[in-house]
Amino acid sequence: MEALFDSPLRASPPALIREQVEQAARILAPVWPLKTFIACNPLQGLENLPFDEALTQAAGLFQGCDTRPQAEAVNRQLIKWCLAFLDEGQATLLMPNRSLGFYAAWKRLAPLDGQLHQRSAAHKSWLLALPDEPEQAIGLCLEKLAVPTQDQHQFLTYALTQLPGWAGYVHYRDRWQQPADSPVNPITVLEFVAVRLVITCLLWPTAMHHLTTLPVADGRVANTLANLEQDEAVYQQTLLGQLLPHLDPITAPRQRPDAQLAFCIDVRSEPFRRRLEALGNYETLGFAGFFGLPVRVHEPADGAVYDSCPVLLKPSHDVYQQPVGGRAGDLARFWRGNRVLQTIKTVYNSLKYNFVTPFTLVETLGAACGLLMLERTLAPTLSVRTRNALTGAIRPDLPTEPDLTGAPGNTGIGLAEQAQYAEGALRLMGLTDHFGKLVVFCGHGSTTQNNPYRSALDCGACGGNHGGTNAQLLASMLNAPLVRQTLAGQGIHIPADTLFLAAEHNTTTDALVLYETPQSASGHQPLVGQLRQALAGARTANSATRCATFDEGEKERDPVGATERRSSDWAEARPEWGLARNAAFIVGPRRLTQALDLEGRCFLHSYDWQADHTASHLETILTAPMVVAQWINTQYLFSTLDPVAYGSGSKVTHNVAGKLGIMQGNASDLMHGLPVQSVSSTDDRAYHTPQRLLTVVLAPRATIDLIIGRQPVLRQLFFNRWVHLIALDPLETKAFRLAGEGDWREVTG
Amino acid sequence: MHRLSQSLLPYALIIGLPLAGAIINGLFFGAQPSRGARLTTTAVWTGGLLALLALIDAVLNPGGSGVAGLQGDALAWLMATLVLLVSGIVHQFSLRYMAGDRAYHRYFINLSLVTASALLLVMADHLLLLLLGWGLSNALLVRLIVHKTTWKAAVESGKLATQTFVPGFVCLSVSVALLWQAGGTPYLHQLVQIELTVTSSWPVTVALLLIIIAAMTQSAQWPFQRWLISSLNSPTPVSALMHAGLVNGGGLLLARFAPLYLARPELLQVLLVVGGLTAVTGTAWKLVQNDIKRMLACSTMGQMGFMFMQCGLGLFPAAIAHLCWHGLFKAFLFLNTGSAVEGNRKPAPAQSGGWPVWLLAGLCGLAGAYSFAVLSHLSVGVADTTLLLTGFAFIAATQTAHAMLQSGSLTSRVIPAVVLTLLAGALYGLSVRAIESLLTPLAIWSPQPLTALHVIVFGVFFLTWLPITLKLPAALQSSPLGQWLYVHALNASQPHRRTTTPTRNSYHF
Repeated sequence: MEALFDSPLRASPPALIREQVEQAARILAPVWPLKTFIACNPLQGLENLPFDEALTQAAGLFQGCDTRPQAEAVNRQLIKWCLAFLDEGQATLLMPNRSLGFYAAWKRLAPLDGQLHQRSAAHKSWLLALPDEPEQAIGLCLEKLAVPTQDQHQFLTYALTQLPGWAGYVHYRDRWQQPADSPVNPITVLEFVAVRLVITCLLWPTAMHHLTTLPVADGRVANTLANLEQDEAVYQQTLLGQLLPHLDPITAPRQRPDAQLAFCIDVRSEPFRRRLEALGNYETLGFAGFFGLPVRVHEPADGAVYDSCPVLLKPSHDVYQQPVGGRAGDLARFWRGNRVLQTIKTVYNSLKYNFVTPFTLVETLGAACGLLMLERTLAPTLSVRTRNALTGAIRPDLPTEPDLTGAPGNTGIGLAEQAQYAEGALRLMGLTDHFGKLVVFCGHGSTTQNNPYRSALDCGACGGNHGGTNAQLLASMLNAPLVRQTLAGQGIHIPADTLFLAAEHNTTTDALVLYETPQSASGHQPLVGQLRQALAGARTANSATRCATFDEGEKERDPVGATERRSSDWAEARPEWGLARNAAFIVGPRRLTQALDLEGRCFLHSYDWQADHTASHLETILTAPMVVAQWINTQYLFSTLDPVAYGSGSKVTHNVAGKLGIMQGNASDLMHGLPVQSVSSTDDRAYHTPQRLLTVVLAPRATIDLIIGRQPVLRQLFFNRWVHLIALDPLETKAFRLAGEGDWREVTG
Repeated sequence: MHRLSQSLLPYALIIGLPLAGAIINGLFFGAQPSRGARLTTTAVWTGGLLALLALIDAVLNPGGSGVAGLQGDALAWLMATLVLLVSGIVHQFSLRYMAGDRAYHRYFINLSLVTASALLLVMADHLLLLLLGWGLSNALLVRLIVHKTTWKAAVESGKLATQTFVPGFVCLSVSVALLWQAGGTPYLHQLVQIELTVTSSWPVTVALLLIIIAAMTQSAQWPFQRWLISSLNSPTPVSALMHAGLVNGGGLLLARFAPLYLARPELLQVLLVVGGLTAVTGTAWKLVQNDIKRMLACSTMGQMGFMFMQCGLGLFPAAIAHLCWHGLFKAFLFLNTGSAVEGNRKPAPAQSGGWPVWLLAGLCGLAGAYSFAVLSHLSVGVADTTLLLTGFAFIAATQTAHAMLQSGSLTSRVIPAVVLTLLAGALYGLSVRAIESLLTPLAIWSPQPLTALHVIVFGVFFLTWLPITLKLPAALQSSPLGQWLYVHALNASQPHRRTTTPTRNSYHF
């Protein structure tokens, strides 16, 4: 074994190594940090395969990790060092030299790590002599491990799939993170592989001899597939049975609505929209919740910065939320209070994360912590209200408005661009005429306590953030006279008495809060008042339905209070169901679905095929929102199918690691995917029904064929059966299922 | 007036309520676990209220002697109140948090049982009851740690804890036998009054040393800390209960035998050294941890070390105060670990301010230390071990003032800094004083004359505090010594190999 470490170097050229690692890394799905939790298909790397084949392959790759002791020993060391290096703010004393990058920083410490070199002088000197570049190290290790050229791809794939969570997070850092974020701890997949292989050389030099073809799963896959297909068939039948009667266009004259409200396509919008429409002369629309605005938002109070747009886009504008004071002195009090809050936090942290001082800190604050625990446990709703009141007393709770002008060095949004964005959004949501007196853009976000998966419940189209700012932006653009003038030039005539408002839909409590603007207090006051009443009514009605979906036989007399409790309770493992039970993506006008109870299982995107002459709108809808919906759908699907390999297991033993992810207990792979509590009522009973996304489009088949022909991503999703597609062809008023390229088969409800 | 502590009823109710809850839940609510859990939670809260009443009664009418092998002094009722408060919160929290869990029913039965056994432990007067409470609590704690029985890592965590608890239990058993033999009585309240000639005999010395070892295993003192750091495969509320309750067993045990230790200053020094070592190690490990739960576990280890030190200073009531307040603080942090993603800590400003800031901060520190000493009724200027407490208060107050002074313009921050340190010192003093005054009748507050060892311990603490506070440049951290220290702290604080989950499919829920 000692001899192994003296063998001459005959490494492959670095470029070839890079290429090989790149190829092997295609198997990885990115894993986002918890702060901006983005749903994603854990089998993304296999989407180029037909669904059933992908399932079989994944079973071998991800569902049956190598549990031999040496393999586990390598994993343990890799987990230790990944966690230490990737930490986003948990540790006070950080791993030294992180700015050099993972491999270089690790290389400096490895010779000191007795768990790696096992006190062998040969190992130590080998570690000291490691090459500077990760490519060279990989070449060297492949040589030492005696991996034949023809097996290198398989070996590298093996190296990347043993800890798919950590590897996926590294993949995100390497490929998906916006480069502007200038990390203090840069890392690449190449470095990850290099470190893994060096550790393997030390702890499992004979790894190659044990690399067998991984056992391909048995009848499990076939079984899973059969169950899926059965559920999908039943659902498709039911949905078509509901939709088909509403296929005939109704040409009844439309009355001018009191308000039009545009919601996110999120499945949680549908039940709320239905209830709101029942309560007045209101129309609702579905649109991606970032309202077409790729912005980076800066929060004033804590200096937080986040990209409020889908992760497929890069933000092109900086927007600053600014507190707006009603009375004189409000602003000054806000900033003064903000400084006080920051100072309290600083002092507390400087005492807690230090030597000696924590001993006195706990004795000083122990009693207060006891009382706080009592309040939070016995009166959760009250505790949140008290906290908000206290914070508000120190720092007045001022409304904020986004400033479109940007800041020096950052890009705001100019008037011409505003008009472009506004026109794009209106056309895509099909709102180009027949404006109501009020038009409300509703972003959405969740409010939960003590929940590391908080951002998984927020708006996916806004990159796992609250979407209120985007709604505010679009509303303020459309209220600008100059923008309206430009739009009129483009054929969109907005009546002078139409007022655009923004709102945020709280998906945990169903509270929908309108942002106050000076205009909303003017001539539109009565309408706004009525709308508020209707919103409250919709909230009550929806809360009652929501309570019934939670177990424990909650017979709630006060459904609104019950949902607020869920939202405020720090012990609540299921504050809301999120997008569980999602099943279909329906592209068409609201009249198609208006009369139906879709049970909160459908993404609804407004679309009018007759206004889409070049099919460009549909193309956008299918390639952007639908792809996001598919990511969400597959995440729920796989987290339910295998909560251990693709989900994050049970919340009860979760451990937040490095402020970026979840480990199970003492140490584990980074548990990507959703926890059991997000998809199941109990450990043994799923709430989510695993099924692939069923996309239903109200448009002529020829148009859809045209788009599929142009878009490889759609060909892959549809023809590999990751997404089912049904066209409701308005020319024949019949439904057709896409069975293959150009192969449409009529289906009936 | 009829004294509460003289009748059997309050004891029977307080220990009996959680026990009855567990039994009824176990027998009749297998099919409706959430109703059973609610019932037993109500029982625990009721017991908690009774314990509080008994505590108030014991304070108003001191001198209760207890009944039937149980103690009725303020320490017993204080600990019972703490146990039931934390247990009530953990029960209530778990109703929601554990909802849908496969082992919900068993979990609540064990939770109520461990509450009852911990109550037996804290109220025991007869040595065999003490031993019974100790053993049962540990066994039930292991059952709670291994909540997910199909998950190998969790089972291993339980095994590791057992491997530490069993020697502790054996030590305690032997010392119980020795003390009973030497003291001629199995009752604690009589044992601690035995003559000095007896306390210096070798069986008593051995017994006291064995009790220290038992306390060390329970309170995760170095070198017995591994089980605690490897126990994070347990459900979050179990960790809260463990860190607020059961690890404190060591402190309670020492306080119960305090009069015997106070008669043996050299044994106090053992406690001081063990505690000091653990306090520094635990805190250092805490600062390098990258995940929230292990960070908290290492922090508990350090805090328990501090508790041992306070015992070693002869200030047992201070140790009990630390035990109570740290318990509540840590239970809160554990239950709140789901929020760890939020609350990003901003990197501290690179500069530590000039000497004027330090001077001012030091002055504020003196003010804070003074206000602490006055409020906690410590004698300022007497060279005994209470001076160390005042010294720690000074360090904390200086740190507070320094952080405060740095957060804005110096002139605008001076007055707030002075006010804050005075208030914080006062609050700190009151917190300690509150517990001390409850325990006055026990006469276990006995400051020791200062020795070189005390000065060395304080010096070490002061020197560990300085570098972080001075924010010594990162260059020092990437120096060879810094790197060596980092890797060793990281490796030494790893959980036991077998208690980790190195592959995805070795996890089961």
